[in-house]
Amino acid sequence: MLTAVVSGFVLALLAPWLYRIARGAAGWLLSLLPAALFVYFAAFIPQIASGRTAAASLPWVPALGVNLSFYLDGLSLAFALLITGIGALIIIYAGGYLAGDAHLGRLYAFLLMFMASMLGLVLADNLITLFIFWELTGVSSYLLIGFDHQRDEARAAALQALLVTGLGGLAMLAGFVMLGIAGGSLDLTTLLGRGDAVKSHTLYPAILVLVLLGAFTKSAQFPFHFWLPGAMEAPAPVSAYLHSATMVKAGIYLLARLAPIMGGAELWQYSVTVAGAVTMLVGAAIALAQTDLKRILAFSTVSALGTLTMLIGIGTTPAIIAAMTLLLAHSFYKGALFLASGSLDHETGTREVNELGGLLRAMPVTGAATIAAALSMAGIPPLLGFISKELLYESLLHAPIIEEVLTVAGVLAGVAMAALAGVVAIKPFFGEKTETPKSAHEAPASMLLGPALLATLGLAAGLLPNALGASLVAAAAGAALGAPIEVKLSLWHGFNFVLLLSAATLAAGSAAYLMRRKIYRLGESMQRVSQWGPSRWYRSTLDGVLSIADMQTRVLQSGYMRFYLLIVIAATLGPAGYIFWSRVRPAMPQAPMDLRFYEWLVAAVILGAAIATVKSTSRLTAVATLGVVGFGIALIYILYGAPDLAKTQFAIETLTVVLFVLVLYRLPRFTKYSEKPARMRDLAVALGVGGMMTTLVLAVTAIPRESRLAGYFAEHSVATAKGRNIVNVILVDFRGLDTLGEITVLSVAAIGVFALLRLRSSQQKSDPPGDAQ
Amino acid sequence: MEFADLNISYSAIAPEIITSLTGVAIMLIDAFSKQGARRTNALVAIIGFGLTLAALAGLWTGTWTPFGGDYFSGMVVVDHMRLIFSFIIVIVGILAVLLAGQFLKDEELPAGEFFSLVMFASAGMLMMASAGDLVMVFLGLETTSIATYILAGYRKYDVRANESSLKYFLLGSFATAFLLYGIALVYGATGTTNIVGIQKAIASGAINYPPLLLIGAAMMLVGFGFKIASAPFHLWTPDVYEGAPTLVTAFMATGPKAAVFAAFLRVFAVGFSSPTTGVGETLQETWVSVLAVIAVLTMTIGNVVALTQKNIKRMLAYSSIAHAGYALVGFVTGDFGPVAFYLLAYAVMNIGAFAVIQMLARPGDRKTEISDYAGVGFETPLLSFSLAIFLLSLAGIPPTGGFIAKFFVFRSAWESTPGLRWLVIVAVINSIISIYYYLYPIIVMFFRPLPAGFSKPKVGAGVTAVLVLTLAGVFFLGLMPDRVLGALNQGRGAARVAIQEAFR
Repeated sequence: MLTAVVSGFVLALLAPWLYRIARGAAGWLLSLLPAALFVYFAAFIPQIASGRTAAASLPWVPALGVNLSFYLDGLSLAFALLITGIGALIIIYAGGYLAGDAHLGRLYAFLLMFMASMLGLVLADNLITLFIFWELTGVSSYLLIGFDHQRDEARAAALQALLVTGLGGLAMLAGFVMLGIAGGSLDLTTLLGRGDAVKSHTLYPAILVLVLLGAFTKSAQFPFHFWLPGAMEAPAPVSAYLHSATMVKAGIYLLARLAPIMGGAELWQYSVTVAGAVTMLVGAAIALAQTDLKRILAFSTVSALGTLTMLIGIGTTPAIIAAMTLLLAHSFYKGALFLASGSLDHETGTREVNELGGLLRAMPVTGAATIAAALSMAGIPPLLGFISKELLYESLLHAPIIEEVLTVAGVLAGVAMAALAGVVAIKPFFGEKTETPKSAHEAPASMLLGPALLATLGLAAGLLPNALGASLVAAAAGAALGAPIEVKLSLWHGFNFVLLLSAATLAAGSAAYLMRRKIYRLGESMQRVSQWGPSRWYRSTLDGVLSIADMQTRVLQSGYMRFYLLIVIAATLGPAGYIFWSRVRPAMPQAPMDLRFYEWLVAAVILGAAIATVKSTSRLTAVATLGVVGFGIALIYILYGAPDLAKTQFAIETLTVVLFVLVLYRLPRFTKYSEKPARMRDLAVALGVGGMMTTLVLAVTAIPRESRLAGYFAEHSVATAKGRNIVNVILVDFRGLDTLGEITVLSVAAIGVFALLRLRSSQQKSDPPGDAQ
Repeated sequence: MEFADLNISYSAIAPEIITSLTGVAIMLIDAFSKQGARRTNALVAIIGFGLTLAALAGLWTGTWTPFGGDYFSGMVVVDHMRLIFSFIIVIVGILAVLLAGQFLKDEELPAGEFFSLVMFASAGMLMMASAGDLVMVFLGLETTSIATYILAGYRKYDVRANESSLKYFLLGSFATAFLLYGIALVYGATGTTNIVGIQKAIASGAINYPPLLLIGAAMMLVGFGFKIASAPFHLWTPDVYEGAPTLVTAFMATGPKAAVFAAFLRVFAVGFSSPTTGVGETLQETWVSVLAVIAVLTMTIGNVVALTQKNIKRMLAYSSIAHAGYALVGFVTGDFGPVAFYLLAYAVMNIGAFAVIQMLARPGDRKTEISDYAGVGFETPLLSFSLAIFLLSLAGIPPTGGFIAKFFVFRSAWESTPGLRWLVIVAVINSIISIYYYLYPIIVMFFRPLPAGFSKPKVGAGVTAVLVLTLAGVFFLGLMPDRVLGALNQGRGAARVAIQEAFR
């Protein structure tokens, strides 16, 4: 099974190279792998149908409980067959559709990569593994949607799809991690037995919301449905494969997979069912108003995805069986329709239904496939679509919650589907032949195989329902229910209420098809409302984030040092000031304030000089007054009996002033850089910090502390080191090793200076003067 | 105090000694060789780092020095945390040296100072990782900082590099002053600068005037916060990272950051974590909450602002701010494991990304706008595919090391401190935002037309080696992280603290 997943990735790497060699035949050659995988998985059918499963595992990060484990049961098998089977057809189709495109090799690579990711997704047994493949499908679909990367719309659509599904995916990851905590394992097989523990866990609501976010974004459920029609910028085979048959069904897969673990609770039932029903109706309604063939199919897919979600939410045995049947039926007919519409577009140059008509004679095979698929979509016997519709109505009528509402919604959506089937099949192929941008003729064989085969499958599965029902549908539904079941599908259920509903649906659908012009007009007037839809929320959120970022750059990242310093100081002043105000101030120890006259004098000098520094309008004055501040501090050292410190301070102050003056001549003219309000702000911050530091110093100095060192040195200087000058004794004796270190540092510095001097002289030799850039 | 109590062990500081001596040796070779001996110096630097690695391995096995002790009267510790961070630092050093060869050659810059500065900076970083005392922390920090100030302005005729260096120096000194002030106040409150001693003093309640301790800790937080480029002390980062030579940016964003995180962790997660007394509890609750807020700010500002950047170095500067935020999320678990793993993964992928950027930017860092990357995708596949992988790893997309690192950090934080789970949620939202800007250069590289006049950069052996090593590292950490995680787990408990209790 691991090989099945990995082989896709390996072939993806080789695909561009293979295309270069095999050119036109590459599509047929490359499709051999998905076809072989299809056979490989098909061979599992008897085993899985008999209720057994297959598994394979590889340790990845045991320390974090993450394994690369795969697991095959009815549900994953159904998906794996769809992915590989349709995958093979799509690759062949793409070869015809994009024949001659310079980047076709790349498209093959992306398609294969996508297929492998999708396989990994449905086979994964570990939640983290599942997530990884989930994101990989997102990335590969991004590449596929943006394939036509010269066009801005394609790129924007690709990004939108990636952002929406990626966002959902990460929410889902958070949900998975919580699920792992609640269920005590990240393995699906283990979690399957712990459904009750998960449902009774306090984290359950959070898990549900997060996981549903992932599933709903991927499967384009309302209000995240807007990305899917946008993604139709992709070439037709990509739309057919990703946005109809497989990727958008990943969310459905996840829901079905987790249903035995998380389903059944009231919260799950209501949220999933209602979201599904709303999506079903919204998708159907928007689809009716469209005239672009591809957009019609896109929104009808949204509607079908909603139906599937709704059925899984209902969760009864008939509902799950209906869901699995619809899953297959929809993949067959929608895949066929997407591919056929691609052929129409390819051969006639337009996708606008109003520009298409009477094409059956020119494109008989495409036409036949479209009609067969559309019949299935409309739910007309003897096609698989009819069976799935019967099952759908049946399960809606007996739904445990809000069954009346759901039934009405289901029938309404069914009416829309029937009408849409007319739009996609009758309008382009029958009636008066219209002029198209390109004169129409039948598509090449590679582009006929897919639609024809898929449409035939829909018919065959309808005629022989139990060839499918007994094995695949039963196994898949059993996996989604968590218990094995028997399934018997049949075309004829006798004259009952459900059949009546079906007939009514068809009648209403035909009426709607005939009145479609009115619907288009209604749709145009609704445009203004839909402008405020979720797609606009997405855009304004994105714009909002970007403009905040811009504002931050303008305001905060000004490039001025003084501003950066201001922020740092203010940010320190905030928390530190808070602590200070709330804790230090109340408990301030009172220092005795018996200051002598000259201490006041020194303080006044320092203060005056500091103010003068700030107020001065020339650099020289500022430097000089700053020097006065330094000398004042040195005076304080003297007053408190530290002449050596004072001496150092005097030396440094003098040196600094001299250096400053040397530099001054090289600086540009002195101007005022800031306005008055900015200065006032700076003043406030400066006073705040100054005040805090001052009080802090007062607080520290007021704490009585004895120095152990001073006494020690005074006592031992003569006694043990035989020296009277304590400072000297400390330097050469008590801390002799440190002095040695300092000497070493000095000599290392001397080496550096030597190297610098050498460099200078050698540069002078080699470089002509003035060559510095 | 008796001499034996000092517990002097030169093998305990062998890594620091070796790097420092190598630095001096390179200076000497440079001073006395006829031409600027670039190759010889690089070789010596690599040998020096190799010996350092050997010394670290020796310490790890405990053959020289008993493991888990402290030496030089508590100045230096030998434990898992120190050694793991030291390994990260040496790896960064080696990658920087390998990258430097082509940079120095292409731009005709002197080699001796460069390599010796890298060695000295690494020595300082190693000191920070091994510091058991605030004085050592400060010493290491300054040694590193001074070397990196110079490195940032290494292209001395370039105005941008000068601006970068000067800004870094001025603001950095300012932050160091905060740190030093904080150390002084903490010393005043507890009577010791030894980190374990501080913990004991707080635990026993023997504090002179408790508010001093709080303010001291706040000031140290500002100092460390500046050095790891966390918001709101991050403002210097984009300007400095953009202006410094690309290689130096890669070095600054990974090595010193890891080292400061090591010291930061030791001081806060060990020193300031004894919630047994009233002061200790207040202190711990305060710093964990403040740090959580800083983490949120750091991640959000980093990611959101990165969205609109047009210059790739600037974008990665903001991304580096965001990544410091993710690492801070791991910090609040009080365990060094997630932080160390995160910083290791970050170092590997970030240096890889900068290696490509250096190559595409050409001498003088002229082409660093994202628009300069248009269409290079299929022209220079080695560089562009590597960059794509590094960016995806930075975004945290599996199966790369970046994904495992995020997963490890987020999961540890989620499980260890239920009171701070909201922090993990913010972090996840931030990772989502970040995907947007990491993908942008990839799109530009592969999906935009190539402008005329593009010439392929020549990729030398050193850069190729770095790319191979970092790619291998990204996938090693992504696909087989168990060995590293196992090593981190061995050290669990060394720096583990009771934050979990405080926030349960």
